[in-house]
Amino acid sequence: MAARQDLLQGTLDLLILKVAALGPIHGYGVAQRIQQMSQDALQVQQGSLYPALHRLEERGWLAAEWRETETGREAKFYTLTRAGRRQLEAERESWARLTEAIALVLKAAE
Amino acid sequence: VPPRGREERLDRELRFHIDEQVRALVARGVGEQEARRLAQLEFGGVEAVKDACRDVRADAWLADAGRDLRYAVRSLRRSPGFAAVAILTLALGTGADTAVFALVHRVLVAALPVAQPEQLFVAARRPPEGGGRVGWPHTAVRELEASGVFAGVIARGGSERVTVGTPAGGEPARGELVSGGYFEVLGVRPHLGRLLARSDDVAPGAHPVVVLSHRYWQRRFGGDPAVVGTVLQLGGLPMTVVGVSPPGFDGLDPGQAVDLRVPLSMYAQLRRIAPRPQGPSDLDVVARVAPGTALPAAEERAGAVLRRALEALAPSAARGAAERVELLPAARGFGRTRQQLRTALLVSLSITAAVLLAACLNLTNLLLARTAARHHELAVRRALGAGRGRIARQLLVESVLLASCGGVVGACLAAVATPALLRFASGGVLHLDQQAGASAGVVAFHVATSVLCGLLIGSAQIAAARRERRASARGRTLLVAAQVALSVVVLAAAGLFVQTVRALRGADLGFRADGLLVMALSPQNAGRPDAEALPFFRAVRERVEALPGVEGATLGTVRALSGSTWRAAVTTDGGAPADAPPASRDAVGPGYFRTLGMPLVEGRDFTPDDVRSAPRVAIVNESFARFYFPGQEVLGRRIGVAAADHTIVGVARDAKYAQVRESTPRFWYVPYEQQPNVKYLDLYVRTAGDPERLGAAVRAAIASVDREVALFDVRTQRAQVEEALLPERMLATLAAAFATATAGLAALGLYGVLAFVARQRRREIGIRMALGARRATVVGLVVRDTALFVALGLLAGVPAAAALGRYARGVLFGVSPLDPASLAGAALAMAVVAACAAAPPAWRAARADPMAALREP
Repeated sequence: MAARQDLLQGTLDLLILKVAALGPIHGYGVAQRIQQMSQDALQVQQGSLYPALHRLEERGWLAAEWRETETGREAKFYTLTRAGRRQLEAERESWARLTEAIALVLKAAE
Repeated sequence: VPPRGREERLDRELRFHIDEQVRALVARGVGEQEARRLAQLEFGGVEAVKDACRDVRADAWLADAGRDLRYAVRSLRRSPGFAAVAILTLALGTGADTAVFALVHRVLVAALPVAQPEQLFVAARRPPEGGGRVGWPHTAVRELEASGVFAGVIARGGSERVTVGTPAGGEPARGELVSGGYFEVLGVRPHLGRLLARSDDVAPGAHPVVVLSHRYWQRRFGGDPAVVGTVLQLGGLPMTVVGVSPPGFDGLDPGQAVDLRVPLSMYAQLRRIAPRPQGPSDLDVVARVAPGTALPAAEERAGAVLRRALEALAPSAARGAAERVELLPAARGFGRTRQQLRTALLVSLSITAAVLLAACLNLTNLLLARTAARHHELAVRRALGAGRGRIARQLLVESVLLASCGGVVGACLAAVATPALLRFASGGVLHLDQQAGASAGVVAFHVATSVLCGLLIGSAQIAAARRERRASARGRTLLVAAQVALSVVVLAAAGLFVQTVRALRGADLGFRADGLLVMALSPQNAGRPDAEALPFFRAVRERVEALPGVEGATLGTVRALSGSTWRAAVTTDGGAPADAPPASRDAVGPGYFRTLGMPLVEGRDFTPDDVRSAPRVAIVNESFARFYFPGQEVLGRRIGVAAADHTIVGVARDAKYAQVRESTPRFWYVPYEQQPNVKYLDLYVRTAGDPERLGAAVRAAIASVDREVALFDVRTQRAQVEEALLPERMLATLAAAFATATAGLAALGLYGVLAFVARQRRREIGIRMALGARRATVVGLVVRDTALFVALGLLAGVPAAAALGRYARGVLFGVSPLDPASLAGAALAMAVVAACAAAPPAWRAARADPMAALREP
């Protein structure tokens, strides 16, 4: 298994919103997706994933509904709301600004 | 099937995750059991995850609530004028409500400050022939105590006048005879020394001990602990002070102050009567009923004990055979205090409820205007994604915040108003403890009303925020109409009560109450022998009458308009009409009719010559003469109780005797000198000037006859009448004050809405004026609105006022519940208030510049 990478809280929110932007998805799916998309570099702890999902739902950025999976089981699917989409854009921008700023600092230090 | 309930949803969501993980592992070739173990391991503590998820929800709620609160505070700070008016309105409403509720609670609801008051029951005698209260003989009480039917039995006599001997002369005090177990059964602990015990109530006359009430100890002895162990002269009888009862303990009849408690074994000494085998026979009995006891069975057993005891006292009399005992709850004590004020208090409470409602309506109205003005702000917030629920919550938080602030200020107002109200309500008659702190019930009531107000105005606001501007204007019209209606109700009620008091004060009493001073005297109470009584009263009357400024002095047994009556059977020389009910009577002194200003229709007044050795005489009132001697000559006829042994020498005009509201009873008078056993008499002193001024001179004159005799219940006859009118006066004053407040609130609400509507219609008014409408027409527009509000309000208010009047019928006097003057007066007052409120907006509308109005966006 790949080395575990701890995620900053805000970062996890951003990743979840991003994944949910691709279409309705359940909690297990979110974890799988993030792992796949990061090519196993990022592994989400269930202890952080579910509280984060609930927090985003509470804030109104994710909407949840129960529906059947392809395998015929009932699961809780999360969908990005309009407010969530705006939030995703805002967080994506601030993430970009942050990484850029950090990159600048690191370069200058060399 | 989607899971129900938050917890189940959470559980299913996490379980799904683990199951998927297992499936993935199995697909990779791991064994089912091993896969489940690994999945669980990887997931970690399911419960910890669940907790973290639950925390998210709580955190979010708290964070939102905090944000809402901060937002509400900020938005109120932006409009401090509005906030001040709103908070003050609510403070007045809730404060008044709570103050009156505290009074109601104190008089009608509060339980006695004793151990487990709910276990206390009055054991009432129920003779087969019915009738009012019948006292228990002491022997029967002792047997009930010994029978073990109840967990405890106590008895007490009525309130007694006690003369306390001091170096300066006799002083009046109120005493109560109680059984030895009184304090123990009630579970009352001494404040100082010890209280009475069963060992103080064994042998008649052998236990000269007394317990002081806390109030008396403070008032008379300045709270000096050294008083315990000293000897007090009670009616010339030395009695040792053994202790002081705790503050706040007022016995079984809260409102009737008792200064001294003496064991029942001392009844003959305290009352100055010859001892009787059955002991005192006028006792109230209260039983402590053990939890789980069946009341009917206990009543049955107590009845059997009572019947046995009655038969033992009078074996021949069969009347005890069918007598029963009834247990009545006594957790709140018993007595007349409560009954006297009951209707008045409940009506007062309904009126304050109306005031509170008016305050809420007014505030809702203010808030609606604000909501309309904040339309833009709310629209922006909605566009930013705030759901309806969020906005509703925001508005609710704001309303509850306002209500809480109002509630806090209201609590301060109530804290100030309650003692004043208690003082006012006691009116020198009741002895309500004014220092009593706020009880839990009153605090709960205050908090509940404040929060309820917040929710009420909040929900009205939410409903308005959902609709558009126009609908909210219509809502406000209804609100103002409701305020007008409430004001009409309260104004009409105030009118009814004020007229009642005026009618009661102005009622023809049949004698002149002004310029009359009254006090009760008893030489026996100060320890003098019976033989000295008649010479004492004679000397007092003569010396007082000789005082400068005194026009007359006389004596009587039943104090005029004090609520008490003395009934006696009547026998006439013609034979009384069959089944004649007993008539009221009084034993009075010489010059009684002249001194009281009660005109004699025929014959003569009593004179100092009508003594015991002289022929027995009587004076009757007109109603008596009409009933017993219809169409006959009355003077010279003979009447009496058992035998017709008094000759009628005069006929007096009908008067009011026990109370102002009574219908005239048949009444007859005899000279007290011709009565056996004269103990207490009221001295009436007539003066042309202020009777209060005479007090000191009269006191000195009586002291010159015997300084040991105490003067009880000294007051002017006018004050005596006012005391009797206490409930009515309280209602009238409260109603008048609250009517002013409600009308003021209605004026404020009316003004607000009219101003708002006038501004909204500015454009329309501008167009009309540009098209040549005259100013009068424009004013007419505003006036029409006002008239609509008032008409709607009257339509609802007048029938409601009539209904309240009917409910309060028992309190009214000399005025019909549908009194047209009160109803019309209330309607007129409201019309005037409305006109005043409408004037400024109408004036502004009429002066509006049409061009400016049209140019506005």
